[in-house]
Amino acid sequence: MVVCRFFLKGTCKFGDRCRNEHPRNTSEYNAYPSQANWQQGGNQYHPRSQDTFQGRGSGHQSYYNQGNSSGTAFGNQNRFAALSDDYQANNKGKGSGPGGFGDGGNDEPRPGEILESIKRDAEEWDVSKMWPYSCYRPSRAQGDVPGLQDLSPEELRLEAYIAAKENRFETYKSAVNLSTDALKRKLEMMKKPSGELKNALISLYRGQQKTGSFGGQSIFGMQDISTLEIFTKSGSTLFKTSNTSGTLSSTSPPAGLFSNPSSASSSSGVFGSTTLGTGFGTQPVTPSSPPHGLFGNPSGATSSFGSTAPSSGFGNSGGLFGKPDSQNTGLFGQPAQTGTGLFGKPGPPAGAPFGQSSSQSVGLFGKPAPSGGGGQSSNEKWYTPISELTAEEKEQFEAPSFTLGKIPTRPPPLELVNTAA
Amino acid sequence: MAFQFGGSQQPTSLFGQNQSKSKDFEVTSPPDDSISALAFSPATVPLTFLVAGSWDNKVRCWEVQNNGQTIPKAEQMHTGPVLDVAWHDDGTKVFTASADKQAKMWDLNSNQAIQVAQHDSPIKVIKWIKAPNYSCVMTGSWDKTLKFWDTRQPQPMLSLQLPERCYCADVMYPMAVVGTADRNVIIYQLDNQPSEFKRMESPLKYQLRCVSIFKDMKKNMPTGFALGSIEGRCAIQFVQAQNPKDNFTFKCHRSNEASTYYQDIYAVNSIAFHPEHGTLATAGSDGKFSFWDKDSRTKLKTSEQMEQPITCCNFDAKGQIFAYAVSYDWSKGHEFFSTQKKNQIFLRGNASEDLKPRNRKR
Repeated sequence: MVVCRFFLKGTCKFGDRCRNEHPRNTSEYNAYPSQANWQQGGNQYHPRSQDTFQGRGSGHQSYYNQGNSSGTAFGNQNRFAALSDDYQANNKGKGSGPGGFGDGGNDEPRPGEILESIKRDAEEWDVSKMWPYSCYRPSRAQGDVPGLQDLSPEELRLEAYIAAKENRFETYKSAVNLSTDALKRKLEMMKKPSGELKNALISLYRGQQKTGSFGGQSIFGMQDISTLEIFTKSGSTLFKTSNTSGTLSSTSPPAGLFSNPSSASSSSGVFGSTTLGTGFGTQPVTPSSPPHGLFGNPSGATSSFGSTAPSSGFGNSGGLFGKPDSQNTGLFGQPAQTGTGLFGKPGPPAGAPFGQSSSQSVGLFGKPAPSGGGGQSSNEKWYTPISELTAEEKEQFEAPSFTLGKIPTRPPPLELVNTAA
Repeated sequence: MAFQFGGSQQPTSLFGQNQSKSKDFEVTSPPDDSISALAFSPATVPLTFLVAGSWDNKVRCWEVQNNGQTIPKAEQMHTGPVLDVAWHDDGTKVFTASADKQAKMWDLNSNQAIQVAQHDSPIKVIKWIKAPNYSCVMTGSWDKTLKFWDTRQPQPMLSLQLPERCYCADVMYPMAVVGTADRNVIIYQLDNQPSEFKRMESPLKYQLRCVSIFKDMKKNMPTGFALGSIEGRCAIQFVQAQNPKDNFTFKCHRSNEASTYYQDIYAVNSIAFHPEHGTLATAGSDGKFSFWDKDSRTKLKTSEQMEQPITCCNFDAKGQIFAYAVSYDWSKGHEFFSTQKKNQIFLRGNASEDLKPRNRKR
């Protein structure tokens, strides 16, 4: 925000109503005695490194060598300090140490200012091409904003390399897209916080523990899923030992709650509930090469839900979703045996994961679907022509349920698909 | 075209190859993928060697001559990308840490490498510690542990738990600093036995990227460290600050937008302190490096823009050569990764002059 010139002079007639910014930490700013020295120092060095000096007069904001007009004379500095880039930077809430909030040294900044600074940070983060997968602590907050997890470029890169090696690069890509979208959503929410989010953010400044005050949920809502979890779901084994994915060691995949190991809701709760519309159901984070059951492998979903499917796709353990038991019915509301039913079901949530994932599963649909195809893959790839089926496969598809050990590895023909559940 | 090195005219027998825009020397036969770490041999060795670890799973060693020429000497392979390298203080061995969860000790004389460390996750940092009464290898990994290894035994001498995945670390006896995910910074003191001295939160608001210890020039003892984050900002932090205002942060590696609109912000990938002057260099994702004087809080120089981000940088033992690696750091994800792009390491001579601190008028 623009700093109010009248306020600086002490003559602002709008007072609190003023639409410009009334910085309140003029005294704090002046308390940096060395600031003047920097300016002076800066002036001395211009001749020496003129050719390579970056940021001279270009608004490059730093404590170093301002190069802007306010620094030319020592005497002028204090008076115009508020107008300098650096001061404005301080008041934008990005400055270091004190002076971030313009509240004259109060311990607790006002809620309006908090939200304002968070909003500015979120905007900046969005626009500036910063690395998106990072934790974030607002200035002068007592803790990080929960729900934003650290993921370093090296980790992501290693994940990509491994995924490429294991032939699940598409899944990796979609996981990346998922994470980016999730982050964008969060940034949007930070820019326009709901009432609950507002309270949560403000309480950050009061030093409340994140898990304690939010009950272990992401402050961004129930549907939030942490970045690490997104990648783990896509088959990454990189984050197995991290605490945030503590749920990995339990058999139930996290229900979209972040960084809380105790968030292990029952798996059927995950599948049967509204998460269908969010992270899990709609997003193609499913199969990758290591062969486990697709959902809820009885040996414990160590790579959790959706992380794996054998390249032979659905023929694995009795039905499309791993166990031919209630878990399946919970997932898409369909009995397990109609694995074929999955394809017949017109809902994109069902089709999308597999339309995408199938591109990775070797031999499942023949040719890999284009990446990001999702539900856009043409129907021809989803069904095997009836003429191509072997007798055994045909028999299986025609039967009311699959027999273990004889489950076809190719999709059923359109003709045999039962649309009625 | 004559290159300048040390201010004198240079025989043109140097690199007729790729014309780099700058007058810095390009290292011959660079790695095939991004360079993750650079390290020069210690002062105990008369010749200067440069070792670089790369995402192509290899560690390479060059001899660097005074005229800027580099001669590839040897290389070693890991089964995963090499994430960090460190020299033994006697200059005969190099320690390499890799994403294959192992660290190896490479004996340069025999060109053999043996495994010296094992973690449950990729090892991100490796350092050599030389104390009066012990010496060991320190490895920090994404499995949230910091382990210390006697190279002769398969079990670690000491294993310390970290609050989160280790992202960066630096060692300058008797101090070690480790930066982890979620902005934790832990300071260790290494006398007698490594033990945790202080745990704090980084003053920066975003993910940590790199850390480098600086020393008090007069006392020749480490007094603080510099932290770099993804947010185009560095923090200078003293371990025992006389005055809380001694600790400060500054912005760097941002594009020159007008101050009212948001700038492009780039990560600080690497920080290195000059061994003699105590001034520092920062390497950024924007493809530029800058030299700074932290005591007078001024910027000394910014380089021209390179074609790719600068992933790491380092000084040689005497502070004459500044090496920086230009390669993709994954800051924009996989879309911007291309195997066609060159990965380069440049050596900049005359570093002593460039990094001379400004006269301070305080």
